[in-house]
Amino acid sequence: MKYCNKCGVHSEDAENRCPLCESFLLDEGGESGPSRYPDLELTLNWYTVLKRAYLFFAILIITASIIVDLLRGMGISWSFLSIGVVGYSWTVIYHAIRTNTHFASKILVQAIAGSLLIFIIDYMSGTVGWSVNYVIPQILIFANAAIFVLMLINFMAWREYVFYQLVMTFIGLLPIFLILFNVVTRPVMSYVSVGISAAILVGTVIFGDKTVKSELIRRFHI
Amino acid sequence: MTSWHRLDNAANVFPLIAHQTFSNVFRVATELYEPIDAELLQHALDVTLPNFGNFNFRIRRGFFWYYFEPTNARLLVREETLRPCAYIDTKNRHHHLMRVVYYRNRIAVEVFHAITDGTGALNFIKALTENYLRLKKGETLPEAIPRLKIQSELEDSYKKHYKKALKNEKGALGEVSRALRLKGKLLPVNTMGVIHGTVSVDQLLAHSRSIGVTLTEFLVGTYVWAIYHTKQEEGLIKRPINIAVPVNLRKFFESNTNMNFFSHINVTLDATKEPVSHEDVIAIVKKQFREKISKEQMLKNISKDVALRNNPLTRAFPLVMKNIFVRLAYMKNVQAYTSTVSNIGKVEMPELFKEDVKQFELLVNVSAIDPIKCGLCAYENRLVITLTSQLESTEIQKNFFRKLVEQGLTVTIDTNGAYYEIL
Repeated sequence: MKYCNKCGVHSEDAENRCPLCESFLLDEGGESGPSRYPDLELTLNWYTVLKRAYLFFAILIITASIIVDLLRGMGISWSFLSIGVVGYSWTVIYHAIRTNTHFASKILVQAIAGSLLIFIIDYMSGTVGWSVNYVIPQILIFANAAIFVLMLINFMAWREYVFYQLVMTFIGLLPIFLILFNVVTRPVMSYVSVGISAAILVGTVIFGDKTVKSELIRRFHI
Repeated sequence: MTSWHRLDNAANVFPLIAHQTFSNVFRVATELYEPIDAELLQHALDVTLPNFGNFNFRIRRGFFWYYFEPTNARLLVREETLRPCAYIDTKNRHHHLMRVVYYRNRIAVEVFHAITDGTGALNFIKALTENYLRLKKGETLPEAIPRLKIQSELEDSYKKHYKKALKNEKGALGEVSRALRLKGKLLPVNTMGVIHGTVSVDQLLAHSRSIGVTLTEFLVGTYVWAIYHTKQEEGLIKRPINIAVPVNLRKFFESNTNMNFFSHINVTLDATKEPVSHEDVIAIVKKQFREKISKEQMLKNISKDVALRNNPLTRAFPLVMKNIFVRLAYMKNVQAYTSTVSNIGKVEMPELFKEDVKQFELLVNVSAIDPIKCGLCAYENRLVITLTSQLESTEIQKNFFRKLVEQGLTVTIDTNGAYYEIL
């Protein structure tokens, strides 16, 4: 034990300075035990570094493409492409790699973000067609099938997949509107996507029964 | 089928504002006389945890509200390496919303405030320590106790006790004006300054009684005075000092819950016009404690909160938007308080284990915008006053402890070493 003459308090710390007033302490005898707290491990957080590097390059790339666009004098067009790519990579880094959310949720978010990126690329290259006709329906089919297969493999915890599976099937049904509004000109892939989504949706609801109901109640309770 | 659980009325605001630098985590810890055996502690935890339903919760997002679901993951005890009350990642889907760490003779339980309050956490650490000491004394505990589901321990007592008719009445908080804010150079991120001051309960009780106040009133008063005195020397008393003091509602309402059930009062000192002495401050604090802490006032407080939660408009907003509103409300609310003093009272242990336990401590988390707080916890004759702070300066702590010494009390301090790095 030590004693601070100025503060009048006893100190059990091993250091011989008073943490309150910084003056030197008098030794009162007896042993000061080891510190009751560990030395902190102040490790560099790799994620913070990655985040900063990402932000730096994102600003650099977007600014550069806007400048190039302006110099070409044809309005800002190609910049949207680089903004799309930068945005999509962020969902990969943040959502797919960084967070520890459910795997099905990662597939869901990647399917949506990937579809958007593909659409931007298609749109920017002038001819809207190949993205909505082929690629996006294929992404949706793949994502739907992936969640479904994972749910079967991980059967013991299938309840956790239900919500994501339902949302994914609804998104898989969306191409039907694209067909109705004539955005899609080659509808074969879209029909497959709608068909598979509808089948999985009906299957999940029928086999899921109470689980699906309970999952929806907890997700949407007000 | 696994069950799910609504957040209680107080919990709803916690997940929304938790953040890497603002963790909403608090710690209750117990110091034993002998070093902790990690294996036995793990065993004790495995046996204790199933009996505390809410400590098994993890948090999930719904479309309108968050909700709890029990996790099946095994919670592992760890040796302490982080700063006290470090952030608990609520987004991680397997996580418990708590951690159990040990270091030398100490067992510490750190919980995210959404699942429980001080009383609930104390119940948990007492049960854990008891089981640990049983094992230590060579008793055998059953490997796994079937999960008990005690509904009364998981009830939302706010909802049970509020009175709809009182929702528009002004509670003990009334109108809280903007308060004096504590600012200054901060300690490095990922560190927190901790100063424990230990005083004798008997000595403190005798002293408080001799000046006609309770122990809590005396300590809160002295803390308010320490802030006042520090800021007055700097010439910065431009607004009233408002201290939030949490009140355990189980004292006023019949409740067995282990989830949140507290409210708080605002202890205010307006010394912007003329200077006050320590005696004045104590008298002002005493008066406010006696006026503001009553069943009717508390009922008004909770009725207002529950009414807001139950308002159809509040309910209809998607969670994403609720998050934005709660953040804004929080930023406004934080301006109304200078600091917090939380007293979780006196801990009792069974006769058999009394000799093995040295003390209990409460550490309240701080952040850059809420940089210093005070936690009180008593066990037998030892009252541990813990001042946690993000400020580099220890001026307030110095004035506080010097005042206690001046009043004739014997104070022994120890720290977590955060201040020595910068001496």
